[in-house]
Amino acid sequence: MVEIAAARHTDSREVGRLIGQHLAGTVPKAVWALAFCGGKHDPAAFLDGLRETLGTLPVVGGSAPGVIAPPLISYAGFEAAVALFGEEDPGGPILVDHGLAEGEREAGRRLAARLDAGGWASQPVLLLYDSIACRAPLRLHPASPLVQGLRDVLDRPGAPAVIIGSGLITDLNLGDSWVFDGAGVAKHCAVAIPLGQAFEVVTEVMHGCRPASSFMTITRIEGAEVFELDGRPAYEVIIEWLGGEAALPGLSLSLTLGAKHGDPFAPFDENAYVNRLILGADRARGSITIFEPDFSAGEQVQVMSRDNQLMLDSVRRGAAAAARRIAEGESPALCLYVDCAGRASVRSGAEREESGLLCEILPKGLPLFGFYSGVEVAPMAEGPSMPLDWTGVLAVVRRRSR
Amino acid sequence: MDMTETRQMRLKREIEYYRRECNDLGARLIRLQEEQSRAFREARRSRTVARLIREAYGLIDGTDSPEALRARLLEIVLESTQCDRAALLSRREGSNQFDILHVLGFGNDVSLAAVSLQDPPRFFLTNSSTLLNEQSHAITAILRIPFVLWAYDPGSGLAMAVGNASEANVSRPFEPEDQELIEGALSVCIDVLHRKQLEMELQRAMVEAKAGRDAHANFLAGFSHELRTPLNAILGFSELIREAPEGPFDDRYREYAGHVYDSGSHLLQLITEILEFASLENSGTVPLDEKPVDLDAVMTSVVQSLQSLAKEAGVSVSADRFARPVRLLADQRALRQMLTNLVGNAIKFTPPGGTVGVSAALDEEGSVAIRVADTGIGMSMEQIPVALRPFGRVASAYTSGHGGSGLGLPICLSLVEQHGGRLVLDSEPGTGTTVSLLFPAGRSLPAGDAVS
Repeated sequence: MVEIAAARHTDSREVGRLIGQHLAGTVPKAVWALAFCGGKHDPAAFLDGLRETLGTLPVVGGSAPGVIAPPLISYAGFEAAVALFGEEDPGGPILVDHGLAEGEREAGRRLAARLDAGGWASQPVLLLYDSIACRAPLRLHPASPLVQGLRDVLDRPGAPAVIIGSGLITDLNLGDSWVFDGAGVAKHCAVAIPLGQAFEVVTEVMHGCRPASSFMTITRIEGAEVFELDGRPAYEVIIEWLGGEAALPGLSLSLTLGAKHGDPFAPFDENAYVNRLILGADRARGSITIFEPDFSAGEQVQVMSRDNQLMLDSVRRGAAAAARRIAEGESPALCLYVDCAGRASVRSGAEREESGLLCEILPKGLPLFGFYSGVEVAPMAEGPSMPLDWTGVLAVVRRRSR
Repeated sequence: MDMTETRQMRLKREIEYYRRECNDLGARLIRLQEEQSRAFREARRSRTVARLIREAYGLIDGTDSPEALRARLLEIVLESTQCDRAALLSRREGSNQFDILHVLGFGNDVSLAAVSLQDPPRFFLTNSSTLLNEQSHAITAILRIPFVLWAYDPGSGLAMAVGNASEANVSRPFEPEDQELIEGALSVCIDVLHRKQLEMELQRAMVEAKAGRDAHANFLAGFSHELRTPLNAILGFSELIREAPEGPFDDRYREYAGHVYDSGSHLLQLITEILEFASLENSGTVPLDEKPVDLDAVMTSVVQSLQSLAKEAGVSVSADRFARPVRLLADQRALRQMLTNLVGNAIKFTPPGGTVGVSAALDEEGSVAIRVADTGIGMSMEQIPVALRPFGRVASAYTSGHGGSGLGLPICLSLVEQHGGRLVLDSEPGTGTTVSLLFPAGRSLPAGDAVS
C-alpha cells in the first residue's frame, strides 16, 4: 500500500527531512514519490531534506497552497505531504515535457504520443503542470488546450481517456507555481504518469456552484477573454447585473460563469455544468477573462454563485458515494483528493473546511492524500476528461476486478 | 389583437419578469456570499492576537531557543492573517539601524541586511493609495513587497512587519483599523520573548548556583582535611616539645620544631590563597599596580625561591634567560604570585627525577608568552577543566598525598585575564603539562628601566 506522511515546519529543508524520516523504511522497494509542498517553501531545499533519507528516488508533484493528509489539513504555506509508491503500487514511467511555454496543446500531444508509443495509452493518467506562466502581468498556462492535446491522441470512440490531475499554484492569490519533474524543480512543465494497466480510477466530482442569473449568450470571445455577452460589452453586462462597480470591488476569482450541458431547462444538476472562474476584468477593453479558453461564441452561460451549503452537501453526497464504492470493491491503493484552493474556508467563508468533512465521512485508514489546487482535471460524468473550476475531485485508484 | 397574441404577450412579459427577479436575487446572493467570505476572513484575522495569547505559554515551554520561538510566533501571525511574509526586527541601541531577527515567507534562505529608519513610526501601513516617500520605501524594502503593516515598540526596541505581494483575493488592502492587529501581535511577541529570556536566565542562574553549591560542598569536604592536617601536626608536635622532659634540646625536638614550621607555612599558604581568591570573587578584580617589570629577573627570583622545595621533591627547576632583556607592563606582585603558583604546582606534580622549566618568548607582534613546562604526571582532557575550576583538584594516586587549596590555577587565570591576557593549559597523562600565560602585545615594553 502507498505510504503517506505530512508535516509542517517553517524551515523548508527540515519539513522535507521530517517527512523523509517518517517514510524511511516503510516501503521496501520504493519506486517513486508524489510530493506537494507549501508555497512559502523553497522547493529545492525541501527536496534536499527529503532526499537525505529517500535518496535519488524520482519525486513528482509541486507547489500547493496546502495539503490534505489527515490529521494534517492546512494551508498556511509551510506544509508538505508525500506519498511513497512501491513496485506493487500504481505508477509507471514518469513522462515530462518542458515545452509548456511554447504551446500547451502541442505539449499535451507530445506527452500523449509518448504514452501511446509506450503502450500506456489506455491507462488512467495522472497529469500535473504549473498553472502560472507569468506572475506579473498574471498569465496562466490554461489547462484546456493541454488536456485537449492529450485527448487528441488518447481518446478512443466510446472510451475517452481517463485523466486526473491538477494545475498547480503556490497560494490562494495565484502568486506562482512550480513542478517537481522527477529530477528537480521546473517551470513551464507538464508531467504525465500512467497509473498502470492493473489499476482503475473511480472519480467523484464535487461542485457547489448554482446558477444565479438567467442565460446569457457569448457573442464575442477570443481565447479566454469574453468581450461580449448578449451583444453588449461583457464587463458592462456583469457590473450592471451586480448592481454597480461598488457592489463587488474586485471580480477576480469572485465570480464564475457556468455553461450547462444537455437540456438547458432541465432541473438543476451540478454535474451538468462546466464552470469557469473569472480571472480578471478589463474596464477599458470591456472584457472579462476566464480561467480557460474553452468557451465559444454562441455558448449560453449563467453567472454561478458559489454556494457554501451546496458545496458541503455535495461533499457529503460524493464522499458517501465513494465510501459505498470502496466498500463494494477492491481496497483502494490511493485516494487522491484534488481540491480547488477557492474551496478553503478562508476564501469561501464556509462554516467548516469541506476537506475536513470529506475526511470525516470516508472510512478511517484509507490511503487518503490530497492537496489544494488551481485547476482540477477529471472525467465529467464518465465522459471526456476536462479541466474544472471550484471542484473537489476524489479519485479512488484501485486494482481492477478480475 | 386576438387571444393567442395576448396570451403570448403576457407569457413574454411574465418570463421577462421572472428573469429580472431571478437576476436581481442572484446578484444579491452573490453580494451576500462575498460579504460572508469577507466577514469570515476578518474574523479569522481578528483572532490573530487571541490565538497568539492562547498559544504563548505553550510556546515558551515547548521551544528550546528564542530563535525557534520567534519562528513560531511569526508563523502564527502569517497563518492567521493569510499574509505572504513577516519579519521581526530589533533596533540597535542609540542608532536608527534595525537588525532583522527573523523572517518568514521568502521561500529560500535569505539573509537580510540591517535596515536604517529615520524616526521609525509606531504604526505604519502601505496600500495602493499610499504615496511613495522615503519612509514607505524603507519599510516596504524590509519584506521586498509593496503592501506592508508595521508596528514598533520604542520601549523594547522590537518591531514587526507583515505584508502581501498583492491586494487581491484573500489579501485585502491594509487599513488603519489593522493597527490593533499588528500592535497586538507585536505586544504578545515582546512579552513571550521577554518571558523566554527570563526563563533562560533563571535556568542559567540555577545551574551556576548549583555549581557554586557543589563547589562549596567540595571545598568543605576536601578543605577541612587540608586545614586539619597541618593544624593537627602543629598541635601534636608542639605538645611533644612542651612535654619534653628537662634536658638538652636534641635533634628530635629540632625535627619536631621543623614539622611545626612546615605545617604552619603550609597553613599560611592555604589561608592566603583562600583570602586572595575570595577577594577576586567579591570584587571581580584586585587593583593592579602596573609598572615595567624585568621579566627575566622575576622568573629567576621565583625559581630560586622554590629551589628548596624542588630539591626536596627531587625535581630540577630552571629558568631560561632572554637573549635581550624583556620588560612587561604588569603588576609585579601578581606576576610573582602567578609564577610561584605555576612552578609550585609543577614541582608538586612531577615525580623525582623530572624537570620543570620556565621560559618566555616574544613574538613578532610583541605578544609575550611565559611558559612553565614540567615532565610530570599530566592530566587528561577531562581533568583540565576540573583543575581550572575553583577548589577543583584532580584526584590521582600520585596527588593523594599532595594537599592543596585547588585555587592556584583559578587565581592565575583570574590575574592573567585582568592583565588582558589568557591562560592556556596543555597536558598529556604520563608526559607532562605546559601552562602558558599569554600577555597581549601592548604589554611588552622596549628595554629600559624596570622594576625587578
